[in-house]
Amino acid sequence: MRTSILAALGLLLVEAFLISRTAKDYQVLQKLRIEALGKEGIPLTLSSFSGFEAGGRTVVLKTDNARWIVPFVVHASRRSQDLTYWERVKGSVGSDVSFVGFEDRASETKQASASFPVLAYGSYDPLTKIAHFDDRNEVLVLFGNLGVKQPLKITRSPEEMAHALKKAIAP
Amino acid sequence: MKFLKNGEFWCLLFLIVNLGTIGTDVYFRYQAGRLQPLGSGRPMPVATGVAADQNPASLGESCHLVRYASANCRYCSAKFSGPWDELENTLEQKGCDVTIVSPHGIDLPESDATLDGKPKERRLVGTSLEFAKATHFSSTPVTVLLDRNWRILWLHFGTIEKSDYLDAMKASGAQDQSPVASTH
Repeated sequence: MRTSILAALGLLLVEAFLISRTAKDYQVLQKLRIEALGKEGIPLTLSSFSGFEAGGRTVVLKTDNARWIVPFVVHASRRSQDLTYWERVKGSVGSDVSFVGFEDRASETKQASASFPVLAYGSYDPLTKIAHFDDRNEVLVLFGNLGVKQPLKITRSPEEMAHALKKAIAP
Repeated sequence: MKFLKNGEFWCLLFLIVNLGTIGTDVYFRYQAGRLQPLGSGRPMPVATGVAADQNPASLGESCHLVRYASANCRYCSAKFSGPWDELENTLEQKGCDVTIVSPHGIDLPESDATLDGKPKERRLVGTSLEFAKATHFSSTPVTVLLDRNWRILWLHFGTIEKSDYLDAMKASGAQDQSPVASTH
């Protein structure tokens, strides 16, 4: 009887230790969750955003007559589909918007036969934001001065995407 | 109610509660691990990119040191960078390469480590999307020490103090003692 009471007390002590450790781990988890939520906000701007070709040449992100910029991710796993998709969006939207693709595997960068630049490298911070929204199947629509207008859901059909984009940039 | 006086009953009950708490803790740690992609032993993509001087330095054979810092960050300035400079110099002597990445490329901090008047580090104005996505640093400075295969040995957020320098050296020492891994 006495032994089992001592064992029970021992287990109670173990529980006290486990609870304090679990509480500490819960606090760490909550902190990480809050940090992750903070990263999900819509940025105000992608200021100082530069893009580079695989060879290192700087590429101007906005064409002369464009008022908007849409940077997007070209996924190595479905490269040709992505390029075709954005070609069709571009064809439906017109020259008001500059489209710029960023390869998600810079090491696999190939010569792109696209009517927009497909780049291997870019400024770190803007790239993290583009990648973050791409994970949510969204693209950021940027003003010509790199301020963020809004994120847009990437639709299944390029025509729908073009329609949503036209609506987003309509005066 | 007789069982309440039974010590074995309490042992069994506390054992079940213990197991429940352990399970909960494992769950919390698992979830925290998922939110923390950068951890010791995890792989990180090679820090490829465009160097500020357009002159790509070769990658070290022994290990890789990556620092995310900005000229706009007070704690990245020379005033707070003593142990960082020491870490950089010591690891370079051990055959490691050093890469500096800044949030916007145009805000690379000034370099103290020079060779023939040029910075010794690879100073990237542009990085790959793969690297940016995998690391997703949101504050400066961040320092990462990686083994020759780009697996994280040591990671530190914030200014490097003397004790952090010692931790990093310990981590790099552990890598020296590890069996030679194949280079990629």
